[in-house]
Amino acid sequence: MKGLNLDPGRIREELATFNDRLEQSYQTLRAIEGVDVGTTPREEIGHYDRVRLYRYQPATAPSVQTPVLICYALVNRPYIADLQPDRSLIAALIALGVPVYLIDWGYPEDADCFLDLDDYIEDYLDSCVRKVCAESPSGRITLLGICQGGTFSLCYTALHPERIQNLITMVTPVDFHTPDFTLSHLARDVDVDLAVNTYGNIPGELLNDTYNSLMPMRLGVQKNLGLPTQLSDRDRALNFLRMEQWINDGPDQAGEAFRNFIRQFFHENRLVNGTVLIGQKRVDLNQIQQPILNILGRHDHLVPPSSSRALEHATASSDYRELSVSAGHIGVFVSSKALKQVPLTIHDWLQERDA
Amino acid sequence: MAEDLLKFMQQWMQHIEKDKETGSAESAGYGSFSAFTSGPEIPVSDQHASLVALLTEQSVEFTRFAQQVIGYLELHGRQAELSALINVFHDHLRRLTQEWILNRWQLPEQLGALFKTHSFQDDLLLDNPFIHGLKSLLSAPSQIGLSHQLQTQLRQGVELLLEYEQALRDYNTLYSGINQQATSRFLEQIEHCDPPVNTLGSLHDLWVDTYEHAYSKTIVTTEYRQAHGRISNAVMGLRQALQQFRNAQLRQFGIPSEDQMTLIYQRLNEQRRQIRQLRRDMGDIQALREEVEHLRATLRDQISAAGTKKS
Repeated sequence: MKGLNLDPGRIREELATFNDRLEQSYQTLRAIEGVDVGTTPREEIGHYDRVRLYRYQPATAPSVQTPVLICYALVNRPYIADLQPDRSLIAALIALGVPVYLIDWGYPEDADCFLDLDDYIEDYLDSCVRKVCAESPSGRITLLGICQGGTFSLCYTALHPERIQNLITMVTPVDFHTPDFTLSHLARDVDVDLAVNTYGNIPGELLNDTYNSLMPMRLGVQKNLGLPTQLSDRDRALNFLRMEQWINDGPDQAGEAFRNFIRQFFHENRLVNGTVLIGQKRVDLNQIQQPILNILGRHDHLVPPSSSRALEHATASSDYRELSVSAGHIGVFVSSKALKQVPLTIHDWLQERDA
Repeated sequence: MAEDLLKFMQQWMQHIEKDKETGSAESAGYGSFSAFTSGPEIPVSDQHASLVALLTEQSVEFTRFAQQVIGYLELHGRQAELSALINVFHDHLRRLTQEWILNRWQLPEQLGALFKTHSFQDDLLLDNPFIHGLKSLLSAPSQIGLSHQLQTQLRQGVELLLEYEQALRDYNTLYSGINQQATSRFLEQIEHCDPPVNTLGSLHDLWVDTYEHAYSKTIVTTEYRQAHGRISNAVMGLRQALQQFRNAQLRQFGIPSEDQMTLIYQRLNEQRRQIRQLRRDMGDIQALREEVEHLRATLRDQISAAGTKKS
């Protein structure tokens, strides 16, 4: 094996370095009592059952009049957009003078298993939109949807175009049947009725396992072997721990909403076919004429760019812009490279279209 | 998680004791692990406990492999044929993969306990005294054996177990294929590595790359999708059957079951929707009232203005 040159002395050195880092990791962990996430100051301005609506305190005089309402996915928690002060999309936006509001869907409990997409979109999201509209000088808002929240935002805008001034979608699945959409491919033969009838609410842990199963070695062996390097330095350890907290903080999914979403979007790909039903209302993406900024991650393995890009020809908007970021699904929100590009692009794009 | 930590602490201590007995040179991170556990007591969060457990597990695995490599190289010299070592490495990673599969598709807790001593590779997984006993119980006439309902439930349970076993076998076959493809590519890449791989870290990285390459090619196939769907559905089917069995038992004892709770949740949600609709209707009525008031005021103003003009 000419491509392999292992030397006992070098391996001893490697092992010694590994153990030094390991020792340092134990000490670092011992000195860290806890991690804080989502620290940008905000106030709660509305709550609807378990859903909370927050307004972020402006850091400067507004440079944009139309408020931005962030609609996150039901899976995972929205604080990925405000993970820590120097890795925060929200902090960056308010520093640029953009008024920001955020929906936190909360953690569904057993009694919420009958909440469906109609409840989430036509009740909770609608209530939040109305509340923020009431604080908007124009009575309209910019809706910024992230991942599944982007899909919800598309549905909402199609159903209530009169309230939405601009639409921003980030890492949003639109066409669920593109050939490289692995998650959707794997979901195709899973019996969603059996899943909901068995679990009631779908455990967040189960979904987390599913995401990890897309790259089991990279997210298993490689990540674990890198732990001593990640944890040996305090700042890196804190970054790592915050991210781990977020990864493992996946709320359970309300059963009926999960059933609706998997069946209509993942199994039947109805969004691009114009046949999605929210309650009794049909979602027709051609009702969307608003300016659209579509942000996607070039290395996104959960929602491939091909799926998000389908938005370009799916609506009636004549003002469509795409921002392709060199990042993965999460990197779009937390990587330093992305944070130099994304908030500024959003700000400039909004300013050009401000009412 | 704190239980995991305790478990690993115990394993760690056993490891150290064993090393002492055999005079093994390295005890990766033992001093540091002691540093974590000694000193003034501080509360350990679940997240930290879990990480420490993982770190400890990784260090044991990594050190074990490194020691094997060092021992082999010292015994056979640096130019020795390394394929035997690669085989060791490959076996080690294959074991990790299988553990991962088992963890991911484990039987529901109640059933898992019954089969704890069997691995899914074991031909005896479903060919054991428990299943035999169950089958003979099921073949007994219901007049002298179990009630018809119970017998039916048990028969369905056994069928679901058999389906799970077959689904897991098929899934595992696909994983063996991925492992084989990954290994071929791995060996091929090692032959052509320039500069040569000279650390265990880069050897692991190479394995991860080759594995992910083989894995990503397989999971997009229809065959994998069907196997994945089948094992997912088999695990859920078993879990659901157990729940139904438990619900039937609870009903017999007059204890509220999950089914009844579900019915209550459904009614609660219907009421919540009715309240939402009422609230919306009331909002609309309020808006109409305000509009009427506004119109009245406008009309009054116009009448008053007309009166002033006349006079």
